[in-house]
Amino acid sequence: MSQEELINMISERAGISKQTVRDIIGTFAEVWSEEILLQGELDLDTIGEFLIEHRPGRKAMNTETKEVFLIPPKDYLSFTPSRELIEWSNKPA
Amino acid sequence: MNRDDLLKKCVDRGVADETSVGTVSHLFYVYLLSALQRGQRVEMPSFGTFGTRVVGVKRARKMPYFEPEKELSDKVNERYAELKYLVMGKYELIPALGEEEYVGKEAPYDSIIEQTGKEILLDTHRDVTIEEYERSLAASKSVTPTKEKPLMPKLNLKDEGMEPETTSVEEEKETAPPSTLRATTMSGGLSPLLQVLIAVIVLGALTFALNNFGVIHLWGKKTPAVVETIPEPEATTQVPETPQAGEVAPTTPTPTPTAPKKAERPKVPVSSTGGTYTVQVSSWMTPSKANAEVKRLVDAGFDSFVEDGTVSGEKWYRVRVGRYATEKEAAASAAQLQQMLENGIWVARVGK
Repeated sequence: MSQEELINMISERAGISKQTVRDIIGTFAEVWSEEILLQGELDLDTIGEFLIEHRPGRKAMNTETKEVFLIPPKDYLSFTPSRELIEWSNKPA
Repeated sequence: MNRDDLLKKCVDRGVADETSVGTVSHLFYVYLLSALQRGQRVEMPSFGTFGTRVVGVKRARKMPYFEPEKELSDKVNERYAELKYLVMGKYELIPALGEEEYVGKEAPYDSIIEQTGKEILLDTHRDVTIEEYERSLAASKSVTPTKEKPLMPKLNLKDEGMEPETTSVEEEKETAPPSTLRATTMSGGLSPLLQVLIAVIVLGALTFALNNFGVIHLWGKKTPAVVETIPEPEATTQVPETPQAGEVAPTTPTPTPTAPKKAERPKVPVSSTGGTYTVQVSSWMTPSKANAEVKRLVDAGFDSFVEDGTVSGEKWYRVRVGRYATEKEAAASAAQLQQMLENGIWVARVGK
């Protein structure tokens, strides 16, 4: 389901203009992103938990060229779905 | 963040009223669930994409996932964005050493130090220092040659049982194998048991061949050691065939190998004129054997005959020699016969 499809469905169902729905959903994403970047985590009760995790740097070697690399550290966003989301996903359609 | 916090922040930004935000939030959640239930993806601009993937061994379980937009990922990883993969060095083969050696830069720890606000973050590169890595590499290299050496003793298929247990090549060199082991390994690698077995077989074959060719006599028919003539009996009234002096007798095993010569052979006083006593040589349960024995004795010149008798309900055929008037004569004759026949003989009455 693309963004436009989602906006159209919500707009038809709620009777709100598409632009308003687009703005509201965009605000959701903006608020969630800010929360994640500031707090490092976001816990949505019904959807799941977002968490910034740290992957430390490490040393690796290319076995063919025998070059030793230093892989830099990295922060990435992990997502743990809620129980309700998992149950809904596994329900027969 | 619960639903109320989200609604409050959205309303504060002046996007829409609280009712519209609440309705959109509810419908967004409902459509998200239904889309994931159908296995569809739900895209959110500048945030990410929700979807499901099949997991588990049986591939029968769906697990929701979230894939952040690149913009969000970059923001999350902003502090490490400029760090690139660093090529520190390379292991190169050095012909002089015959081994590979690390050739490269020192550990660039300083470039890893990051500053966020007032804090200076030092990444975990410090935990993996190049010195430690080199040390571990050197240790592994020092261990590697020992792995190449055979820790277990080499399998000696020639004589596995007698191989002494050695743990290293040096010990194997120092402790020479025993002389017996050397001897066995040099003699074709046969085990001692097999060698003994072969020796027994060879000896047996040699003995059989010698016995067959008559060089030695261990079994089979005995060849007559002495060809002797049959003595001329004194009274030969009952002897059916009386061999002439000097006539060669057939092969008779009855005389002993140490039988006397023609002239020295004692003549058995055999009285065939009649008498009460006789000398019993043997006794048989079958008449054929008894007759064969009688024939042998008659051929040898003795006055022999067969008498049957019943002992404990069984019939026996007794081979007897001569008839004597007195027991004394019979006993004297029996003594001479005993020397000649080497049998258990005794004096008996005729007809009993």
